[in-house]
Amino acid sequence: MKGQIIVETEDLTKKYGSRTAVDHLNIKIEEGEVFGFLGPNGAGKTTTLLMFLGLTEPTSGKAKVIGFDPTREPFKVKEKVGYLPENVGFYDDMDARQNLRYIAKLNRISGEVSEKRIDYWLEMVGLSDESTKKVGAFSKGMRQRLGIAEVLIKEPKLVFLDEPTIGLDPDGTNRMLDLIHSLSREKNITLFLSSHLLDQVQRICDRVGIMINGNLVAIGPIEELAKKKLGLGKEDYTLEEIYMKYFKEA
Amino acid sequence: MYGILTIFRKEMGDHFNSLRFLLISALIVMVGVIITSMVGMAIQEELKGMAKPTLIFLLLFTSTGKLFSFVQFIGFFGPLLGIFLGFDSINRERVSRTLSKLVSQPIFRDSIINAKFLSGVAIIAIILVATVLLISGLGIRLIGVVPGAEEVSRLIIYVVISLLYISFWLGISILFSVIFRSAATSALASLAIWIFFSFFMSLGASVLSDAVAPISQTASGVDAEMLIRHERIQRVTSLFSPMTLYSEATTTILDPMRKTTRTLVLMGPLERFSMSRFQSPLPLLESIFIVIPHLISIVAITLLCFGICYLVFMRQEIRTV
Amino acid sequence: MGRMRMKQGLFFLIVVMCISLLSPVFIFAAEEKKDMRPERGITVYPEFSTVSIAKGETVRMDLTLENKGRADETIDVKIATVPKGWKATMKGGSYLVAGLYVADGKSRNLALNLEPDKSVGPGTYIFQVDAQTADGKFTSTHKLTVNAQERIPGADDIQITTSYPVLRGQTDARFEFSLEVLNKSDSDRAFNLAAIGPEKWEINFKPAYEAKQISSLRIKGGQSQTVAVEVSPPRETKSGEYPVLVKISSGEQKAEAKLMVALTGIYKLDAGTPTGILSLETMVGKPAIVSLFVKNTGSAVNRNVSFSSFKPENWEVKFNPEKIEALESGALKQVEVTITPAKEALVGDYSVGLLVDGEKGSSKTVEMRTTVRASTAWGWIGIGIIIFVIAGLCGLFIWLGRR
Repeated sequence: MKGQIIVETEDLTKKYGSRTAVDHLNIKIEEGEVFGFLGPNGAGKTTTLLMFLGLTEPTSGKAKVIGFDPTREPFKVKEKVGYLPENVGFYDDMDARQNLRYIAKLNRISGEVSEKRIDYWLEMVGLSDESTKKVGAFSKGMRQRLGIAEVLIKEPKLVFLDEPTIGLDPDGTNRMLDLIHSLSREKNITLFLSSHLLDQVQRICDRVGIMINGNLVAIGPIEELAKKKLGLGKEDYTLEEIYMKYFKEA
Repeated sequence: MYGILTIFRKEMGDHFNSLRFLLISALIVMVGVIITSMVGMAIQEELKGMAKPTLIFLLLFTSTGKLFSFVQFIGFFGPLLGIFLGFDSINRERVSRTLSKLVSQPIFRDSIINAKFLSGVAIIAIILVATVLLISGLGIRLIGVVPGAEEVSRLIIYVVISLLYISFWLGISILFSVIFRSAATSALASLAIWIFFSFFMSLGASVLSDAVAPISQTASGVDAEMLIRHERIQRVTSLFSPMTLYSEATTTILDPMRKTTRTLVLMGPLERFSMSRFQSPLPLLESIFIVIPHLISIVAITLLCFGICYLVFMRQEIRTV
Repeated sequence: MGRMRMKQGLFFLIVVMCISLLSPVFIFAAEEKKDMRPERGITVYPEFSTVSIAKGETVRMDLTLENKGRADETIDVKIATVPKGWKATMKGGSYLVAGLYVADGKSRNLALNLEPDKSVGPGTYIFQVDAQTADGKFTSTHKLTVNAQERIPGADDIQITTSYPVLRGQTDARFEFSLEVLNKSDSDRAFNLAAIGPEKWEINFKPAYEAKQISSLRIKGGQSQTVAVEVSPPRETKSGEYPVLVKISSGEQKAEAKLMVALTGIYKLDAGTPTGILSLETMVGKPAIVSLFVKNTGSAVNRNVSFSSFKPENWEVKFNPEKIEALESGALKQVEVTITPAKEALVGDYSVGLLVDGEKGSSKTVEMRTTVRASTAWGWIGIGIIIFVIAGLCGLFIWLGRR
């Protein structure tokens, strides 16, 4: 639809002991997409993300992220893939700029370039005025926005966002969603959003995947899923209804 | 490598910015300087009008003066320095949730632990070298004795041994910071290990040697064979303590009059005669040969400790982060 | 048996011999019992009947009165003839005696004193002593001849001998001569001691081995006594030979002894620094030069003044010149002393003794307090190290601490 496949898995499985966290996951994500990865807590969303980044080795199966096997070439993957963990942490005794600069350095972005990008992204996330404040004094929303800036500083092709709006006030949530949306539209960045806040996912995602107990029970555009499950036309459904349907079935 | 360098620099900056580091280094420098001034003045007083005894410059470090010598101070305080520098290095990042962010950057995962360890070593090296240099400068100023090449070499070896020894404790504390989520737990665990090896080991050694080779007071006095056996068992056991290894190595390196690391030597009368007859300092190379086993042991335990630390960190699931 | 008889015979012989030896005693004893003395009889006689004296000397002798008879007698005695110019007295105890009682068979002595006055010249003088019993029946006369002679020089003089008439020494020394004074005359005499020396010299007489000072002494006739003469020249006396004349007199008689004191002058040295400062500072291993003056404060020429030092181990002290051949009295000479502390010397204060050794034990020690400082170069290097370390730490701090 939009172009080449940027994330592709083939029976990706992760077992913690006898418990299967991710069970034969097969997923394909195209470039420029905003993909919503849904599921209850403990469904294996974060594990999947970690496997995509090569931070956790799959028990079996294969994954390909931006053309590389994250298990074998995590370095290449991490260079072009941003990851915003849930409740991202910062070095609280450093200010926003210093935090960004550190990450930029770890990504081998040269000083001049990184300063420019830092300025740009701080502007973009609306933290220009707070750039010299110690991050320890930041509010939750500010931290989350700073997290976005941090992820984008390396100008990734693909960004994994793990619960980007959790713990944010409604205003913060809206601003965050707008930001994410504009990223996809303006920067052509593929966004992989893991969340259980369905209305938000519905607002910005092109496609969603629903994962329950390690199994991907559904994948596709929201309308398709709605048609398939509820038999309803556009505008008449919510993602929550679809999700609950799947959840009950599982 | 790039990742290591970046993290290393950041860690160094963290150390230099932390009050903890400032306090510890200030304490070490202060104590070192005070001890040296006292010892220096005592030496000046004592040796006035005397011909220069051999390697007097080293006396600045080994002479106990009124309280304790600088070497003893480092032997005691060095492990604490290592522990203080490392006990929260990994779990601090974990608690502040920066570790998962860090590992998702395009760096090798071991860069983190390597850089943390190296920055600790670098900090220790800076403190040690700075203190030794300060003391040397003071010593030159105070007693007017210029260290010769051999003295300088001995000091360098001393600094290297101390660096290794303190790095061992740094490794221990980093290991615990990998294992335990809580910084307090890891600090306490490190301290417990330190106390065990430093104090209880020698106690255990004497208990063990008493059990295996009890010294019996016979009518003809103490049985020399037995005494030596007792001593040997105690020694071998206490060599498991890094502190014993370290103190034996450093005192031998810094005191050329010491010809063995052992405290008790079985000696024939002729041997004793020749020992007392030829009371000359050992050449540097001989001193090094004597402590080579100690040196190797210290290097080995330091590497082993870091190796374990490395393995544990690498095998740890990020998920549990 | 025959043998027995022989023994008996021998014993008998010895007894007879003993008796025959003792028999005269028995005989004499038997005779004395029979008083052979006359009824009465007295004798007077002086101790000597003829004596020779030096002119002007007094004759003293005993006069004996003897009762030869069997009855006690009271005897009057007088000196019948006294030559002109003489005064004759007889004394018994403290009295002048003219008569006395003598028991039978006994004799008594009186002290006869014949004193000439100055006018009495040499010649023969006869004195007569008469004695008679109280009743005048028995008399006895005895003559005493006194030969007054002209003095024979030396015969009754004083003789002074000394083994060491010339003494040499430094001006500040004390010279002690030992004189043996011999009283050649027969009689005890008191001797006056006097000495003539150079002006301001102090000359004292002392008995040998005693500390007291004396001006006269008594010597028995014919005996000798040792007198010490102590001479102390004044300090400023120049070197040279000085005679000291010792005069010993007793009445008319005099004796002189010529003593000689040869002064060599005082051997004394003084040394010090021209500034009077007895401390110096130097660096480890670096020589320090001190200028030392040596002054001959004595009055004699001091030859072979040498230098030595008392210094800490491995130090070096050099003198230039190494010795002074001769230093005139009052002369001043400068010596350069180079003190080099040992290369390994510690910083601190050291004492370096500089010894100036002259003749005759004249010496002087100058103690220099030497402060050894670390050579400034190394001291600065020490400070440099400290500054370097502090700067390095600060640099690290700025570099790493600021992000």
